[in-house]
This record gives sequence, C-alpha cells and structure tokens, in this order.
Amino acid sequence: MCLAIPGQLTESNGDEGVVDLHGSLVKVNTMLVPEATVGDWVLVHAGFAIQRLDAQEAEETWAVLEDLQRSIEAEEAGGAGA
Amino acid sequence: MTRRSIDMAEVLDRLNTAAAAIDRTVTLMEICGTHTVAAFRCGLHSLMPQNVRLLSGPGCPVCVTSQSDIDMMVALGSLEGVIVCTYGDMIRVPGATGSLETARSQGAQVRVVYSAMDAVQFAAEHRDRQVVFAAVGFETTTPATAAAVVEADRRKLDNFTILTSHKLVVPAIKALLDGGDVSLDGFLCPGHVSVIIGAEAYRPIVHEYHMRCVIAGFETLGMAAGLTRLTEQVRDGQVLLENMYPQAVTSEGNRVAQELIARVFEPATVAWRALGEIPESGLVLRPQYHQFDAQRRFNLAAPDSPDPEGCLCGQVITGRATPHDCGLFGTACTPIHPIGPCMVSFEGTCQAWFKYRRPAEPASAGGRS
Amino acid sequence: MTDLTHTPSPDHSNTVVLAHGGGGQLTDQLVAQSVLPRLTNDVLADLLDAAVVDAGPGRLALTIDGYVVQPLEFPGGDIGRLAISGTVNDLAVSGAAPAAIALGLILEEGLDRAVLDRVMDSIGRAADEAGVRVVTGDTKVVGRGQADGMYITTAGVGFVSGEPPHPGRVRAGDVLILNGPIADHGLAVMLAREMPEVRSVLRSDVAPLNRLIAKVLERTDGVRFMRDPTRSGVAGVVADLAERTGLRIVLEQEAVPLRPETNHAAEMLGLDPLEVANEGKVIIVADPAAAAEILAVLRDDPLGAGAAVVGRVEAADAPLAELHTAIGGRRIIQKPYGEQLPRIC
Repeated sequence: MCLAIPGQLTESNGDEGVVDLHGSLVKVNTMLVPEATVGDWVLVHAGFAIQRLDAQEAEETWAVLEDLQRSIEAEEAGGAGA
Repeated sequence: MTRRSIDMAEVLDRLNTAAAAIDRTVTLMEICGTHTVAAFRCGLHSLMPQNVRLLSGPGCPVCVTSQSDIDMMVALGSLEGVIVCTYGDMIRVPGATGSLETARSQGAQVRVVYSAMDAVQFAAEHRDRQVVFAAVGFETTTPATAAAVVEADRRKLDNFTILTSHKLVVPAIKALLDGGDVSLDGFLCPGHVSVIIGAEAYRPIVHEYHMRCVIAGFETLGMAAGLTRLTEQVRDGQVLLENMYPQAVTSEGNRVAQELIARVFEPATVAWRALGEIPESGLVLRPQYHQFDAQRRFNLAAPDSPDPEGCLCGQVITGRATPHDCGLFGTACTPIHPIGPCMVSFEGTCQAWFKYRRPAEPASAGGRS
Repeated sequence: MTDLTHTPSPDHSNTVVLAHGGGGQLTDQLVAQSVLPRLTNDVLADLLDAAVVDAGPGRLALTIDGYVVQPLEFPGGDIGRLAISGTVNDLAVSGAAPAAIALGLILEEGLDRAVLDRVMDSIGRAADEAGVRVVTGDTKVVGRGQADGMYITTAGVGFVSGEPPHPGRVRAGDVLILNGPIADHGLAVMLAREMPEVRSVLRSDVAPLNRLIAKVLERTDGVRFMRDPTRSGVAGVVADLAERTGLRIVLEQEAVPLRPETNHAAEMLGLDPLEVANEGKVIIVADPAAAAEILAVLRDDPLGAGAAVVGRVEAADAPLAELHTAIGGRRIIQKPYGEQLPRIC
C-alpha cells in the first residue's frame, strides 16, 4: 500500500499535473507539492505527487545507493546498544 | 567514508562483516507491508546472515483494519443506493459476514478505485447514489483522503462520505514496544510514510525507548543498506536515527500534507485488528467535517467482531510469533482459504511466508551459501 | 424488447440488434457483411452446419478457449487477434500444426457494427498470419447489458505427427528458453482498462506463434515440452512444471527478458511481472545440447527477437520452483492465486 514511484513532472496546471513514469504518462494531483515545477522529479502515490525529489538523486534511486554517512544526527544515544 | 556510489555486493559484504562481529542473534523488524513483500520478492531474506532475524511488524494497513470496520464496509455496500469505493487491497479481507468481494458477488455495490479523488469524482457524477470511500492506510495514503474530503466539501457534495480506518505508524511502534514481549534491536522504518511525517517523527522512539531507527525506501539496495546500517549500529554499540532515503525523506516531512491531514482529521484511540485498542493511533474526522463521516450518516454501530479462533495474526504482526508457529498456517489457512488478514492481504506476513519461503526453511534467517 | 415480427429499425446497419442473432435474414446479412468478407475461404463460404476438412497426417489435437477481455480493443491488439492467437498457440505448443478454427460469437445488443468489423478484420489478419482457416462459426446476440460488447469462443483442431512434447520427457539438466520479453500483454490490457487516462507505450505481444514453433520443431531436435505463459504468467508455468515433473525448476531473474517500461508499469500497479499474462510467448523446455540451435532459430524471427535461456531443470527430492533473484538471493515461485488481473484474456 506504500507504493510510490518516482517520475518527472511534464505538465502542471494549478493542482493538476502529468507525470512521466518511465513510459506511462499519468495524471496526478499536485496540491501536496506546491513548489514543484515542470521538469522536477516527484514521487507519485495513489494519484497524488507526495514529494518533490532531489533531481540528481532521483535518477540514482533506481540503481545506486547514496552516501551511507548522511545521518540525521551523529549523536550517540548510549554505548550499551549491543 | 566518502560520498560515492555503492553497489549491492558491497552492501551485503558490509552486512555480513558486521553480523560476523556480533556473537548473538540480532532481531530487526520492518514495519511496512510493502517492505515485507519487497524484501521477500527480491530474495533479500535468503541473503540475511545466520544471526540476523528480520521480522515483519504491524505495518500492513489492510491486516490491521479491525474486523468490525470490514463488517461496516460490507453492510454499507449491501444497502440500497449505496456504493462502496475501495482500494483493491481491501477487497478480499474477511469480516465476520464475508469480504467485500463475496458481498459483491452477492449483489453489493463495490467499486475499486486507485485514488480517493476517483471516489469523489464518481460521487459528483452520480448524485443519485451514496458513495462511501473506505479510507484505509497509514500516513502515506491519508493526505489523499484528506484532499478528497476537502474537495467534496468544496463541491458541496451531499452524497459522499468516508469510513475512516486510517492509522498512525509511530503510536503503533510505541504500543508494540510498550507490550514488552518482543526483544528487538532496531526498526527498518517505512520510506513513504516517512516522506509525509518526516524523519524526526521517529526521534521519540530513539530517545524514549533507546531503539534504533533506520528509514529506507523500497528498492532493493535501499532496504539492504538500511538493514546493514542497523546491524552495524548494533556492532558499534550505537543507537541512532538514520535516513537512508534522503532524496525523498526530509527531517520535517511534507508540511503541506501534514497540515492538510491536521485540518481534516484528529488523532483518536482506535481498535487495531488482533492488537486491541491503541491510544491516539488512528484518525477521526474533525467536527467541521462530520457530515462526511459514513458511520454517522448511516447510523452504524461498530459490531463486536471477535477474531477467528486459532488465528495468530496479532502475535505475528507484533513479532511475538512467526507464521510457522500458527497451527492454521498452510493447512486450514492458505491464500485460497484465508482465515486471518495476514494471509489475505498480499502484503500480509503470512501470505509472504507462504508464497516465497521454502516449506522447510527455518524461521530465523536465511544464510544460505 | 425488440419485436421480431416488425421490420427492423433502420439503425441495424450500424448497431447490433437482437434480431441479428435470430438465425434469420438479419443474421445472414450480418454474416455476409461483417464475417465472410474478412475470412474468405471455400469451406466457410458454404455456410453449412458443419465444416468438412481433410484430416492429418498424424493424430488429432483439439483445443477450445473463451475470450472475455476488457476492453475489447487495447494497444497492440484486440479480442479478435487474441481469439485466434490463443487457440493457435495452444495447438502449436502441443506440437500440433493448426488446421482449422471454429468461431463462436456472442454479441451484445447495441454493439457498434464498426467495432465488430474491426474485430473481424483482426481475426482475418491473424488467421492469415497463422496460415489457418476459420471454417465454421456461429453468431448469437444477447440483450443490452450482457456480454460486455462481445464474447468470443474459438475451438481449434490440428494434427500431431510423431512424439508430442510432454512433461514426462523433461529431465534434470534441461534448460528453459523464452522467446522474448514478458508481461507486456497483461499490463497493456490492465492499464487500458483500469487507467485509460494514462498514456502508455505498453503494447500487448499477442501473436500466433505456430510458424515460429514449427520452425523450431523442424530444424532442431531436443524440445521436450512447451507451454504458453498466459494467465498466471511465467510463474504459473514454472510452478506447474515443478509439480508435474517432481523436479526443481530454477529461473534466473537476470536472464528473463523484460522491457524497462513494462517493469515500471508493474511496479506502479504493485504486480510481479512473472505473474502477468503473455499472449505471444512460449516457454520451451529443451535438451541443453540443442539450446544454441533453438535460440538461433528463434532469434532469426521477429517473434523470437529477444529469445534467451532463462532457467534450468535440476534433480530434486521434492518438486520446487525457485527464482534466483537479481541480487543473488532466492525465493520460491508459486502459482498465483487468481484474480489479480481479471478479464485479461
């Protein structure tokens, strides 16, 4: 149920947009991503674009993992974790 | 470590290296039905080191929809002039009186939709029918329902309501940990729920429960990397919140979506199938949107529906049992004759085990050479 | 309700009406206008109660299939092309040379005659491609709201000389060969039906494979068994093969041809491409010594352009169908449980 696919926004008109999902052009509602513009990569779920993706990394999503070192916080919450 | 491209062989190598340095069993849990299926389909389970167990948690929204919610959907579909719109995943889940699918075969009006807006559009085009949308799902899906309600309100539709069954992931994790009977080393957190709620939503889990949380997407490499980071954290004695899906998940999430949800819904204590009531773990419509509540419009009382006898779904989805521990698994309960929701749902743990695991495979880990 | 004693209303020329199924003049007219011109052959033109054709050589093979696909017309094909290809392919994978087809049409009152004509065109073209004749048929019309436009049933006869392919001939060490990329048909139809607003590049692979298969059987030795992976897809065939032979069937995920856009469509719908229907594909189980030759014959033909060895048969104590995944993992393959993709064929 959490299926969401990245694709490129090819048309945008108010809350309505069209996303190119690698060969399929799908109409999506863009109200959740007001800052997205044509050419942006977005994540599509159940007829909605739910997030704007970092363009370069969206491409890499399909094949490659990004840097493992990027963490939200390097704070150690305790040494007795194991 | 420098920023560079990583490949699967390297990730699996790191996973095995980390696991080898830990002299006990590590138990990790993924809490999203989509992760359950994806991990099995790509063969990741078979590549887990011998001492790393991967359990499935209560993250299949279909599986945790209470039996009484299903019964209400079925009852509504059978009413004259009412049509129930639902995501396809829900259609086979059995309630006490059967599923939406069996109800449909007996004449109930049930329609599969791919988007909540489709249900609103249908209602707008069929003003002579009452359209009820079965609103099921975690936070990934909730914004769509909220948008649908706002749209129905804008269009002043008097024939559109929703049967709300939306649930929240973080309260579910807390309830699972509060239950106390599973010893876990970390959670693989659902990437697309996290897109909406933001990485920081898991901070209380890390701080209050001293529990590792790593967010991962659904492609194979992302899941493998997430499991690897969890294992490395165990080896290194760390308890961290990490985001392995940064291109889609930000620390604060999608604010627009969160505001939309908060405008339409408020948290409430709701019943989870096989888990009972969990405080503040579900959503109900706010008073100004009560006219879109199907339960109110049709004056439905939630029926008291006990779970099927012998069914261990509740224990399976909280990691206290595996499907193999259930006496019904594979015999009385199969995908063709399912008894519990974990076997019905294509994202259910029991169905995944039945479909993808060898019959004789041991419950813990793969570790085949 | 249509009153059959009165002169039919003027629009029967562009719409199917109940009287078209009555067996009287209007039926004759429908057959003369929509059916015969597109299926020209002497046997059919006689329009007798049964078709009499020359037999053999060899033993008779017989098959029948009903076609209820929705929508009737989809990217890459239509119900007519499907009705010929499906039945021809069932004969072909059984080692039979298809000889004749019987065509049953059940039409819904109100069906646009232009749709009927296009479907009949398609049937004619597919029959020509296959080199097979539609020698007899029947037309019925049912009321508005029934038959979803149209249902088609085709029965086919063919003749088998020599030893037909059979699961009993499969041995440990044999290889599995596919003639091209999978899942195109099921996904093209699914998208066309469920998401008609999606503009997709996906096209059904529906095609008659009898000439391709005949070439393989003539020019090579070592075909043990064949199956066309229609409903339930490649997974269904492989799981079934394991059960029938009692052996282990291993499929290599990386080797299975799959177009990227088809894969992405499957992901969008949450489906496993291995479980999706194909209508222009054959799985050939063969002696490994013949594999190179079989591939050469397949690849020499447009319908076999993407042919590849995708798996193998291994000895086993108990039947098992297993996928070796792209990342080097394993998981079992089971026959899908049904209605994932309704009305696909």
